[in-house]
Amino acid sequence: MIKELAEYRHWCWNCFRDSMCKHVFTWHLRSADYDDICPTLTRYKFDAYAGQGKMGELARTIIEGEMGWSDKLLEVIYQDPLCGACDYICGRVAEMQPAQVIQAMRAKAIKDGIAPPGGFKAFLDDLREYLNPYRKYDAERINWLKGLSAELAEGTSTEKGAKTKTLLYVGCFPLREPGAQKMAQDAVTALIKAGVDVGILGERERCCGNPSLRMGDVDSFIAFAKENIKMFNDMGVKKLVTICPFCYSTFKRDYPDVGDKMNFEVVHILELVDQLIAQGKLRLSKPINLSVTYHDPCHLGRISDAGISGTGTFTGIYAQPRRILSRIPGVELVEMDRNKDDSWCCGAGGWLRNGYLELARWTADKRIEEAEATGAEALVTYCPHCEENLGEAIQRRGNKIKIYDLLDLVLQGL
Amino acid sequence: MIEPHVYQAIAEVVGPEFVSDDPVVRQTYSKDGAFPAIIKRYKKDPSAIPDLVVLPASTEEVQGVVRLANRFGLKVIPIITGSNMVSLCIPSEPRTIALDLKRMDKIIDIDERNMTATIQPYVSFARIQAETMKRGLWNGGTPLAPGSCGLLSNIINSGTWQSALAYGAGLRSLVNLTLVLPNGDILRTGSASIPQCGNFWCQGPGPELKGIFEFTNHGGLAVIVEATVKLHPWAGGKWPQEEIYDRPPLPANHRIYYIEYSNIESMNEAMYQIAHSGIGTHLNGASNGWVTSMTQRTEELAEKRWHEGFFPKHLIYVITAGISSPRQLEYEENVLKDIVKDTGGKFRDDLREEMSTWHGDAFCDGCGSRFQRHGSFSSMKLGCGHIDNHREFYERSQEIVKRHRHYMFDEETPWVYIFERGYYALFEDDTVFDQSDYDEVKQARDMNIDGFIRTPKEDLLDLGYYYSEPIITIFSSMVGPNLKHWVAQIKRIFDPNYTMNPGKLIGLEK
Repeated sequence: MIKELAEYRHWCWNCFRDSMCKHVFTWHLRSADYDDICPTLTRYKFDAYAGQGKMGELARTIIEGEMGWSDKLLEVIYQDPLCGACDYICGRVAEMQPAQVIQAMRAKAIKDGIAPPGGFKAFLDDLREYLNPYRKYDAERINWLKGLSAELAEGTSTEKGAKTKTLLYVGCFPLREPGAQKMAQDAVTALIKAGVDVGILGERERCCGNPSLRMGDVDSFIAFAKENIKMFNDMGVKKLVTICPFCYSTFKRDYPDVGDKMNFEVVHILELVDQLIAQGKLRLSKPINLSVTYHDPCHLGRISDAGISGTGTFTGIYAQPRRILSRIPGVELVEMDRNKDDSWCCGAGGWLRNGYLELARWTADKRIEEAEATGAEALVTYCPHCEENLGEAIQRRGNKIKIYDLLDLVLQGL
Repeated sequence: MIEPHVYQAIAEVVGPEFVSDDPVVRQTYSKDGAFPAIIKRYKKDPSAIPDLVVLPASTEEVQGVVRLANRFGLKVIPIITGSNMVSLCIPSEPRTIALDLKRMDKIIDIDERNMTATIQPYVSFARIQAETMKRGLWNGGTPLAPGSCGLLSNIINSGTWQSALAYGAGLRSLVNLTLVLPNGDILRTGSASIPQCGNFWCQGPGPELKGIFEFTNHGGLAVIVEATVKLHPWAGGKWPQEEIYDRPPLPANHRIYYIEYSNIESMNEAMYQIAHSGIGTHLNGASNGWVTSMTQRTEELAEKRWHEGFFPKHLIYVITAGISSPRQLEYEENVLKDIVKDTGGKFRDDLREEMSTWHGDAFCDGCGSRFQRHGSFSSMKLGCGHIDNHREFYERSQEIVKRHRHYMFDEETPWVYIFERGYYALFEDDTVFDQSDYDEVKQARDMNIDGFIRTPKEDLLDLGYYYSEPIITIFSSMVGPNLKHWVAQIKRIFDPNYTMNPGKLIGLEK
């Protein structure tokens, strides 16, 4: 079950204010220059913006009825990418997860009839009307298919989606703008070229519910989750392949909390592509002479599943993208100081661009600064949200580094 | 309530975005694990909440804020990372500024040849270690506080490092301090007080002034804005290594030994012999409760193994470093084997894998504060003395335990740190309590008061732990009232308006 705020009372009282949630996990710190891990705290500095301020004090005062809702309180709990850095670090040390509490604070606000602050109010209103985060009707979901060749479109028809055991869940991002459609097209291209028998839902696809959950609209999230789980079960889907890391994380980490049995396995396309390369079904033979650095999307990493990454419960999708890169001839990987579980968020987490664009942009600028410091020619990642936010930051900073989608590089290397 | 013109004046010093009187911001500076603060919270008493939070970025800004505080009758509490802050950073008087030094986070200089680092106050252990270890140096210690802890806040709080055998207490690492006094003036101690002389000598011209501002200061006399600390040779190479999860390997050129003893006396004898032999960097004693609580991945597993008595009741661990040569490791291992044989100890190599979380925490603490997973912790007894005082300390702890409900560590032999080749040891017995359970809070508080107010004895530097009272107040009960008067006089000289963190240096200082 999705926990209510009051159920986190033990954590809220017992946060011992050790500042671990603010910094890269001690054993992994490589440089004093890249010690900060919490974008909101690093930007605004006051402890109220840190995990320990929100969980360890503000949540406690709400639970105990000591503090009522105010504009500042809402700003503090919504001005947060929910990137899970604090969950990872505090989880390792103290088995507490501040970002989970922050999400529960948002849910309590919505339950109390309080609207989210800033641009998030309109975002949530539109989400409830359009049932996706891009203010487009679901009928437009199939527009990205128009860019596919006839051969590829045939290989992954929506009719086939009704029968297939392997379903490619595309996600809402192609609705964003035409440029975003390429990521979906590349995913289909890679799978069909590897001979994967895969179908799609086309117009029948519905949002995974991630934006509703992140805004605190738990009831809407549960409705999305129940509808999707029922549809996938009824279709007999055995393997659900996702493109967008937000969707992946939502299916893996959040859907089990709804309580409905899921008769299907959730797989991210990078996991599948990694396997297909290993099996020789995708042969990377064309050299791409490029030094790259890799940005780990939070939703493929530390918050890709329930529990704490690296403590035995799960490990984020870290090895697969690096293995894929290592198999592209000519590609050299140079790591940023903050990587894997210790990555700095791109700034688009928690749909932050829709509520606090300035913070989202600042966060992305910091990440690009770090990427540029590696001396790599290109930044590679695999998330439509990271790519949008980091891509804009690269432009703002004078295009000193290129950005690539990992599957785009794979297709170039075939 | 701070008047608008005062707020405006402070905003002009630090910039408007770095000062706040918003209740949401202020509330997050009232958190504290000290019993008085917890009880205030249960009583919904707002006096623990500062009136203003200010984030200076430089020495000049600290000076500006402190001068304004003096002018307008405000109190100032300097805060670094927030850990090692129990009872020390929470207002005890109205019109208090929480002076959060987070923006002063630079390592100003690392002098590799002369082995010193000059740092601003918000530099953590993790940060100094990351920058020094890759240069073949380190600060010489890691506390049993998280690596995020501010190096200076730990030192000023008399923090104890696991490597105290070789490098002493944290206070020994201070070379010079630069302080902003309560009137806004700058004071530089030691050789730094002579322009162009450099940071190398803590004594400086005249008596060692640094001592007044370090142990027990807690921001009660000045704001430390810069400090030079000693560095030591590091033989461990690149640290941390890649992919360190719960079972980190030891740094290169280091070895760790776990040795079990059947009783306290033979354990003490071994600790004396090891300390006097000159080998090792770390020598500490631990027990089943301590080890399970700090090394097990989950609290559930820790509790299970504690009940089972999974780890020995009398365990010491020794870490050796091949600083001069890898052959040093061979030599020190041979010496250690002889001592263990002579003292009837048993090497427990089988524990090495199970204890390997500790291999990270001993050099760069990431998970060592896991013992607080149950809630909060409080020392029920903390004492210094000769190693032989171990038995006596343990028996006194058990007298307290018998009078109270207890948890995890309490029936164990204390955690023991050996300092400076065995000149003295520190013994620590703690209890753990759940802050969300008021009954547990009261039980732990009673145990704490019992440990350090009712039962100190003059034959052992029996500190208890100053969660509820300034440490000078506790010492005075053993040393005599003149200590308290002497410190009160120092406070009056340096801080005549009682601007700096009132009530923390000494109780009832007025």
